[in-house]
Amino acid sequence: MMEQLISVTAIMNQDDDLRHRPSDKEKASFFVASSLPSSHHLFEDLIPSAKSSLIDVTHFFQQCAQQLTPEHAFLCHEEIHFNLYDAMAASQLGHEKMDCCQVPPYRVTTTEEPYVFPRPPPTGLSSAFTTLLWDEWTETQVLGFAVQILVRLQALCTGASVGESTFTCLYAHAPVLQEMEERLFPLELSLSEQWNVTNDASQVDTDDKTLSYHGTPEQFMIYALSLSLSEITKVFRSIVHNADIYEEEDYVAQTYQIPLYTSRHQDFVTVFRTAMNVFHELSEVQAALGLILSFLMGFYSSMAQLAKLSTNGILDQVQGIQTIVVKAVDALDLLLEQPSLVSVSAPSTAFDPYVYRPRVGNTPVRQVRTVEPRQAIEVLREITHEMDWSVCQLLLKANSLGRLRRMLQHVSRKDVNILSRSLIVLNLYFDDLILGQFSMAQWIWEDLLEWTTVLEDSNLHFLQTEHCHSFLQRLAKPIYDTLKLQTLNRNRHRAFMDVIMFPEWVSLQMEAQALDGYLCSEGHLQSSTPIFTQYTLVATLRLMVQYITVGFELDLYCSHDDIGFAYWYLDFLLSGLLTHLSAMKQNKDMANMEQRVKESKTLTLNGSNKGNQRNKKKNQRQKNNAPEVAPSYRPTPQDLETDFELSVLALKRNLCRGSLRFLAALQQAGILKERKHIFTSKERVFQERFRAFAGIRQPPPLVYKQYAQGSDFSTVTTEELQQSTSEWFLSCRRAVEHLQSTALPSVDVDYAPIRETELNSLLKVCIGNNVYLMKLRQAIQDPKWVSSVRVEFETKTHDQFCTIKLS
Amino acid sequence: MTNNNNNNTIQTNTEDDAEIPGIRFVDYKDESQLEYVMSLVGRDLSEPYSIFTYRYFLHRFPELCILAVADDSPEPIACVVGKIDIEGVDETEQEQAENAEKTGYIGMLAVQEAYRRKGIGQALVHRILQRMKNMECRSVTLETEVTNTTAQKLYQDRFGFIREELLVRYYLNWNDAYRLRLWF
Repeated sequence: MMEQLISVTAIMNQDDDLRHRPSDKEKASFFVASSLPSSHHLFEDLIPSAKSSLIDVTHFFQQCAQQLTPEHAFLCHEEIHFNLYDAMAASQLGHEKMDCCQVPPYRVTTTEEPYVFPRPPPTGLSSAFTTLLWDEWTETQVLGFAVQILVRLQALCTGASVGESTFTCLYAHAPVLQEMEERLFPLELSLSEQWNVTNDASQVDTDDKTLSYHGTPEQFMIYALSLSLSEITKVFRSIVHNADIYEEEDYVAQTYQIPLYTSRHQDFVTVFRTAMNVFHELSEVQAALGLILSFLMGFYSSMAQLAKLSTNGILDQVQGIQTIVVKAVDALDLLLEQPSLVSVSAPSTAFDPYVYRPRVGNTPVRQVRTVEPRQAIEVLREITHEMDWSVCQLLLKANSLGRLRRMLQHVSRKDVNILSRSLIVLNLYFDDLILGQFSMAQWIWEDLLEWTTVLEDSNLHFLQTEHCHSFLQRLAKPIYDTLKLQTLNRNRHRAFMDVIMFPEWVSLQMEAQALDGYLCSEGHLQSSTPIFTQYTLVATLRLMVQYITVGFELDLYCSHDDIGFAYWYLDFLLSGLLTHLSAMKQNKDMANMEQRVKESKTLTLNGSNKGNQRNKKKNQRQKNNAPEVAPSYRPTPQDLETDFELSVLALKRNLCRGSLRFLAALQQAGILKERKHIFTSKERVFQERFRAFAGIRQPPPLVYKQYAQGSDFSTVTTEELQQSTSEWFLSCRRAVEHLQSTALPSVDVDYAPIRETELNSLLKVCIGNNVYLMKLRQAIQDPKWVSSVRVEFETKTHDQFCTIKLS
Repeated sequence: MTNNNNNNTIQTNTEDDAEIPGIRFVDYKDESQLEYVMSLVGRDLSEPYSIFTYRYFLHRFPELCILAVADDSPEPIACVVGKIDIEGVDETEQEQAENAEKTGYIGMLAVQEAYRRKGIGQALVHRILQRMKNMECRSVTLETEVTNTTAQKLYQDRFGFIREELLVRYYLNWNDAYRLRLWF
């Protein structure tokens, strides 16, 4: 250990003064400097050049140790911080895995790999460690640099820290940007410009304003590209921080004490505009550079504007941003077609993945991963496009709670990038308005009415009571949480529901019951239509369904027992949801029809009474004979969406039943055997799998005994069971085809509860399962086949409903 | 997930601690065996552990480190290392929390390549689970890489661990992990 420490510190100091007898303080600082990455001022002084060699200073340390006395017992003084972590780091210097700076062990004498020394961030274009290219940039090199900027940007947006992405570009560091700015915009030139602007009215800010700079076009491009990476990083971080839904897999908050630069150019878009006008020819390289700049400008502008929308004219703002986003996506599409992408590269000194290593500390760090430029551009294209369809479309089109819910569910299923999810959260509720446009309480009330009985005007007054009003206000936060849930990572949904949402909705159910009881006692409601109780129950059921389906998506159900538990419980929940929603809708439809009949009678009566009194008897006869038939009703788009949603729920419920029966058929055939484990049991697993539901009163939590009874097909013959299974999958297939041909075309695709691609996947699942079921029916008589068959639960076709493959 | 109907051991576990010819299972004794544990574990695991991590496990829970010694090898050829957490209680208060829920944790399991596919890993896991159960743990957890199908087969199929959570980008190599849990 001592030898390793000595060998590294020897690298740091080639000073011949080692031979002289240093004072105690000098000895202490010598040790500390080698293991303290955070003391950057010491560290920089001791950074070796690339040609440093190793010097054995073991004797030096031995001399120091021999000089210790009880009065001066420590090699390190108290004034110099040397804590436990530094001691750990010192003991692991040179360790092939633990040394985050990847310095090879002292005793390794031959290696083909060059040593990668830790390096501090650059302090300018020329620093002690390296000199950055400035005067010799060529156009092609600039394009290579620009492509690498996109690679870093992609890394940042997909979860890399700034140390692993932005700051691996040495030109994006604050001192380097500052020096570039000072060279391109010397103080006297800036002052002169300001003087001219102040005194010349024609030079006021316009959309065409560009900057004057003092340097070559290539130099300005390097400056603009580096500054764009820095500025986009700032905006990105600000958005993600403010939304505060990020997890460690999305985003790393640390900056490792490396500051982001604040440019003197407050209107950053002007820098972009100037850069786009730098080259005047239209060579391939310049065209590619123009596309990259166009993308960066669009990406930056759309992000920044979406993060600070105002309620005034919000739709116009969003439409404008959508246009910018589409142009940015188009720029990347064109860039991907550029042949010049293949061969360009940036100077190797421009990027360094080890630049932040000393700041990270003493623990092993993640591998810095950058992808190939083409892949980075494709990912950036996807991230940018997401701002269009997931953020802008949401703001433009969501105009009811139900529609917003469905659109957010689609966003969640698509695993959208943290940037768009954060922008959604920032705009979900601001200035006391949902999506900056609508009243939350009004939306909740309309959502309630969408599923419940239409109330006559005379009864509406009870809604103004303090109790109802308070409860609607009370519902706002929990319902907001159900929407915000969709913006979290899918792998975090279950924990969020378990810890926060289920307990909240259990309380709400009790409050809703109390409120309905009160309204019933006051005569405002019938006991058979407890609207608030039903509403909270439906919301709870939706969450429980999502809890289980997300488990399928994450592949958490790993055995056939587990899968059986999940489908059985899901069947129960979907059935409950379907029952309640169907009953509520039926009540509503009947009330609607009664109202229409009543209105129709009233109209007929009024029409009749317009005749003169001589026709009084005739009128009386007409009134008595008026048929009680409701006028034809044209369903609204919301009605069609509701019917679609009910059909999808029924489809999924039936798929659960088919899957359960298929599992039972395989067990009956002896292909899936009962599993027994010494330390646990099926009952225990069932109980713990659904522990999150234990505190919910409605629906009451199910127990293993109910599962055992409900999934027991022992009284059904093999033939009947297989026939029944086949029929379930066939009916599902017909249902999917009906939805594809009838339901899907009748609704706006953004409001649909299921998209065409998912319907196609479900169709494949139905067909696939039927094919394998047929295989089972044909081959089951062959004992050899039964004993050798392998069962695979494949979820690639659809992540919630598996295809049970037999091979 | 694949269920191979040919392998009867998927369906049942032996009741007793099965003996393996030529292999002895011994408890961790003291610091003199630390380097064997570090060597076994460090060779195969992608995530680096410092010596302090090993000492944390072994000094606090020496009874939860079990070594497998082969007759034809002077050094241990496999080991399992675990610990016990008291959930919901700060580490500094764990000793005082009498009624808190105990959860076992299997931190490391390693078998030298030449000795694999002999049931040694399974035997080590069986032993440590038995000890954790005897120490009144309600459940046992561990993490395993999503791509580590061998480990998943061992823990899930043979012992009945379930996948409790997906941990995205859990490892330093950016790979995902499953948190597995066994409920006693």
